[in-house]
Amino acid sequence: MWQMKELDCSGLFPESEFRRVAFSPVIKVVSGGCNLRCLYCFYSGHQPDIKSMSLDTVGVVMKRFLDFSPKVTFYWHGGEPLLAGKSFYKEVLEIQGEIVKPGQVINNCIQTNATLIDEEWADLFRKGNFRVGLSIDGPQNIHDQIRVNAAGRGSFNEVQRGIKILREKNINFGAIVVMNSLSLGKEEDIFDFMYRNKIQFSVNPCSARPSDPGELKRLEISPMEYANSLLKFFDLWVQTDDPNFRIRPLDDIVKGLMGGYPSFCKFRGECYKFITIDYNGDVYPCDEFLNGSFILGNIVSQSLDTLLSGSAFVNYYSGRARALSDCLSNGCEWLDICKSGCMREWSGLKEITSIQEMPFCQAHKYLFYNISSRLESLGYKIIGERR
Amino acid sequence: MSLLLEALRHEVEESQAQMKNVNAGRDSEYPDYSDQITHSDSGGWSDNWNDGPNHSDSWSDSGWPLKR
Repeated sequence: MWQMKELDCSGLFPESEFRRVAFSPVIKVVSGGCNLRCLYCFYSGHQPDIKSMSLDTVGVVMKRFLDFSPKVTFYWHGGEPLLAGKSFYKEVLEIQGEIVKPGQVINNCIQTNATLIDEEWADLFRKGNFRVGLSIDGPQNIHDQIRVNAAGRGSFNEVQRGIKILREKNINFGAIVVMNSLSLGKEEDIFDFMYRNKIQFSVNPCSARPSDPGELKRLEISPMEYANSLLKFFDLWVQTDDPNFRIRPLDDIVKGLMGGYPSFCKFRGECYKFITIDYNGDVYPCDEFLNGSFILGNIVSQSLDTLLSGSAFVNYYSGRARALSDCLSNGCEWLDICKSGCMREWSGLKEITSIQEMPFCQAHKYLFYNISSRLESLGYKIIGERR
Repeated sequence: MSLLLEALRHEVEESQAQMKNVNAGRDSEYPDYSDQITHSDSGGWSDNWNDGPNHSDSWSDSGWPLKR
């Protein structure tokens, strides 16, 4: 299914290949600035001031990508991207309309905490055909213990108000649920809430880096805890037998086991498509790696050709090739689903000696094995050499 | 029979057929599903789960509003 060449980062990516790629830059329009102070946020404890991307910079960013790629999805991210203001996004849409070329396609996605959504925002989302993602961790008692404002007050009611407006305006949305040490074991409550409210969602793990503050580490869950949590969600999800309700990444894993192509970035090994642009044009490999040691360059002063062929870019992503090589040489039966996982899970390490010994790898194998067993017991054939 | 799993299986078959067609037309060793990827930090939504880019820190997928 996958091909080594797709993931071979040991040499330069030929420009001719990049020119065919649909890029999806993640744009930190206000850097990490946010109106909430969620306890598990990787900006927790050092919440930066709100620094907005200028219209000049955003114009350059969009032009760089649209000059380069036939399809571009702009992920408007933060912090809280609505803090950039409505006029900012109105201008974004104007600029896009001016520079889009014949045959070229543009998509806009926005990931918001939903607390600032009003009718005018909803109208703007509709006008710009924004795909809206929001963050909610389940019912109020679970959500409010983590997703709080600067005064420490839970944001559940504000989020619900935002959801109500989106619904009234007929705007589809999905959600991210972050599983953390406080919500672990409450999968049934979370699922019931999300399913009852018809909010399809992605389950992400709360993870911390060695340099993160103690509070964040306290909320972290282990890869195996995450895998077990996903299995609980899987059982609840399958019990509904509702083809119109999806949970990520479970749907992607199931489709991968059935022989499909994964769409979730964690299972694609193509994270370079999601290079992250900070408010000042600084470029990073992913929004998780937004610090100086991972900087790839600056998109205002450098062309995409220069950035994508630069040593910083190649060195960073060559770690993925080494990880893949390790998985290949070990003959991992799950490689065509996992593709050596997300670089966050191995902290973007450039020198992988044995990815197989890393906790996330063991957890992935456990998760894939248990889901495939469940599918087989339900009469579904698992595709590939693993059976 | 599970309606949910059947729906997923159908989507797999559709994507496989799509890839075959694309690859046959392009004569490329690369399967051209490069625009069908999701970021884990996104949460965008569309009527069609299956047809657009996605990032794990978001939810977005599908559709291309600006096209000339």
